Amino acid sequence: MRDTECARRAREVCVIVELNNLQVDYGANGQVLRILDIPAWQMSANEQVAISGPSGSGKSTLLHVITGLLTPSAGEVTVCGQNLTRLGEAERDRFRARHIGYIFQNFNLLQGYTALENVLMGMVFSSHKPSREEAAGLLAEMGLSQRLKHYPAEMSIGEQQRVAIARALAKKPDLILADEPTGSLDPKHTQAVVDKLRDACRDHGCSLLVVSHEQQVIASFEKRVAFMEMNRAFAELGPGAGQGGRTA
Amino acid sequence: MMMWRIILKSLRQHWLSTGLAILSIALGVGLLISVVSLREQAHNNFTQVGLGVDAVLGPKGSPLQIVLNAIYNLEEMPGKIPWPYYQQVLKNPIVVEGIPFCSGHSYAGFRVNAIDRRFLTDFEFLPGQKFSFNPADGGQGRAFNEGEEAVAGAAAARELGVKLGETFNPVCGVTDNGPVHHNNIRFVGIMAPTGTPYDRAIYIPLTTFYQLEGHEAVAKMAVDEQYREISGAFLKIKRISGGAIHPGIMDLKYEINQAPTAQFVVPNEVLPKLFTMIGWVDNTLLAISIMVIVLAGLFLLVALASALRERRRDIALMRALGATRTTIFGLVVSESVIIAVLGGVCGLVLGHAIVAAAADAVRVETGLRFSEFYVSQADWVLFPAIIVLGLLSGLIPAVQAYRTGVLKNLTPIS
Amino acid sequence: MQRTFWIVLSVAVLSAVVVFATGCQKKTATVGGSATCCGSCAAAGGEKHEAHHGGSLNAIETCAVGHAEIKVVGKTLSCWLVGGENETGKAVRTADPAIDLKVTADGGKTWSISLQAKPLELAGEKVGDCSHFEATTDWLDGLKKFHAEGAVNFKGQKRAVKIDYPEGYDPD
Repeated sequence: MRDTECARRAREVCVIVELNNLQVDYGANGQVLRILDIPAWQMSANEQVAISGPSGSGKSTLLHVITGLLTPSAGEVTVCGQNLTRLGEAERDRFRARHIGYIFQNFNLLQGYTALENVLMGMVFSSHKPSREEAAGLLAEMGLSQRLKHYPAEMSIGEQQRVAIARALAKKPDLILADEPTGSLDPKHTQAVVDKLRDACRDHGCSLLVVSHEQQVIASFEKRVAFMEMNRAFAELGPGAGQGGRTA
Repeated sequence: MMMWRIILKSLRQHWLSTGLAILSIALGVGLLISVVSLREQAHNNFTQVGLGVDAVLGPKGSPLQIVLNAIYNLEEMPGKIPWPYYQQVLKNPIVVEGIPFCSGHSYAGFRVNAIDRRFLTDFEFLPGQKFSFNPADGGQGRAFNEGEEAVAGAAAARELGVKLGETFNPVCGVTDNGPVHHNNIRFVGIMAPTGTPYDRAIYIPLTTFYQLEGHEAVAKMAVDEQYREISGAFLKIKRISGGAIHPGIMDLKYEINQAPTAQFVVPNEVLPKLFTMIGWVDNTLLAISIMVIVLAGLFLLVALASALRERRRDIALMRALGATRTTIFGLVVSESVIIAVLGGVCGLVLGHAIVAAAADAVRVETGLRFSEFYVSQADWVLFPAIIVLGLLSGLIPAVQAYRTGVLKNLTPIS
Repeated sequence: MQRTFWIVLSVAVLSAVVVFATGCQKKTATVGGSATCCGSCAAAGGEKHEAHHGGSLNAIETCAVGHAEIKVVGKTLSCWLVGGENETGKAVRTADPAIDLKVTADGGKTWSISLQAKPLELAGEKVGDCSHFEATTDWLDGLKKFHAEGAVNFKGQKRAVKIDYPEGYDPD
């Protein structure tokens, strides 16, 4: 019911992520460093967007702000019609648990838990009743049906990443955020994982926002790519921007 | 996956520190349970049961000494009382009956008490329970008659290997060094076990006592009541409605205690004083066991805190997956409580096992009855207390977990 | 999912705390018995004087000299002469065969009563060497509170006896 409601709201507003005058400052040694400064940016429901930019441009910080893990210094972050800057920390946690799937830069699987348990962990904190059948189904979708009881250390990096995707999908989120999801993969596996991620999001009806500095990943997002300049704003690029052409 | 599975998983991951914390709590709890149980049961043995004696009429001296001698076969009687005085006491309207005895002799480490035959036939060592020689109850033979006959308490018979028809010679005094009375007194009965101190003595007829070889000087006491002396007498006091002892016992006690030759001792009044005197022993044991539990609590705290250092990344990850700070706090506190409860359960078993082991030894030595199934105050308070201990021990690690930063423990800001 | 977890945890913690708190409170032992005392001397001595017959203790002159323990049951008034300070369990004998008292009831009505020696035989007492006295009279029946005065040969001299029943007389 909740997902339906959120999807309804997303359709009404047609916007899943909206940033307004977003600023994130980082203070250290008496100096204030502005990490993010985005006047306005939107992402529509069911859209798949890639954000590219050099290392240190604030890509991961942007994802942290959208997940509600980081509170912006100024501006507004609206996800699925909910202004996150107006929520308290616990409310943001609960919102994240229900609506946002997160794939981390280093896959971040729980090392003491099997692949199946890692996927179940994605459901525990959401309002879904954890279901071993659903979790096993998601892993099978990812081609990991033989790996259910394997621990992360017993799996390849590509497999771990697919477990992370399954875990992100497990809570039936409205939005999946992926932070350098192919950072440690060779080109062959990179393409396979990106395709898997995009297909899965399409099949499960959720929006996808990927942050990556890899051209191969960026090139896969034929419709919409955003580019981040150093600590500043977005420059919207068109399809094929992954090839390096900047058309903002 | 249920929240409980996350907790159990974490406990399994840190099985060594979890196991040690459970063990240390179990030791402390086991010690506490056994100390409290033994203390309460000892107290019950000495006071509430009363062992069938409402009062002891004895010579002047320490009331405690009189009770220990008359009922528990310990110590020695501080003197004797004249038989006519005992007869005078029996005339008091609230005295139902008396069982006179003479103590002060022994055989192979067991007391030989000369006592009125009614002790074996009429005396109730527990409400409604009389001594039995019935083989079905574990007894043998019969009660003694007049003459050189004796019966042995169950524990004494077992340890001495007494067989019916065998004879023995009692020793004057309560050590084996005294002069021997060569009377060849014959065992005619072995009492069924009662689980009371009465099991640990040998009984001979009162009149036989005065006629033992070497007792020529007092031999005429056997027939001449005017000069007869006794060590004391068990007194049974009249009951009022509801089974309570007649309140006139206060006046009787006062009256007898003004006499120059005798005193009236109520075991249920005296024995609590014994516990006051030796209270420091079990208070010390109690304090030690409480300290062990507190130390176990601290160990639990340290174990959880050190495990937490390894788990910061997992906690941060759970937070990123949507767990609130309070959920993380709850997980750590629950872990602590579960460890404490597991320790408590093991301690409960251990404590009762200690009581079981101690019960046999104490019973053999003193005849006091202890049961490993006795439920003491500690058993009732154990689980609430252990949960409170778990809560307190888990509090600091839980606060640390609560404050674990997500981003700091996950990916670096890029 | 989290809600069930929290409900179970909260119930466990709450019940633990409640049971623990209840268990702690239960340890309020009461000391039964018939102890009454002379207030100030008990305070000075730091120990409660025990009336061994459940009556009221009345100091003879002072608490240190001795006491008359008074108890009224039905129509009978009993008096035990006992020791001072903490020796209220020890009888003190007198050569007097009787103790005469003037009794004043709470409302001002007065009577005279003569307590006759009633020797404690088991203690070896006899008239003329006795610590226990008794009198039986109709007007005692139902008399809940009174003051009485008299005299007794006690510990070598004639001493005044003052009785406040049932609270006890304590000049100290």
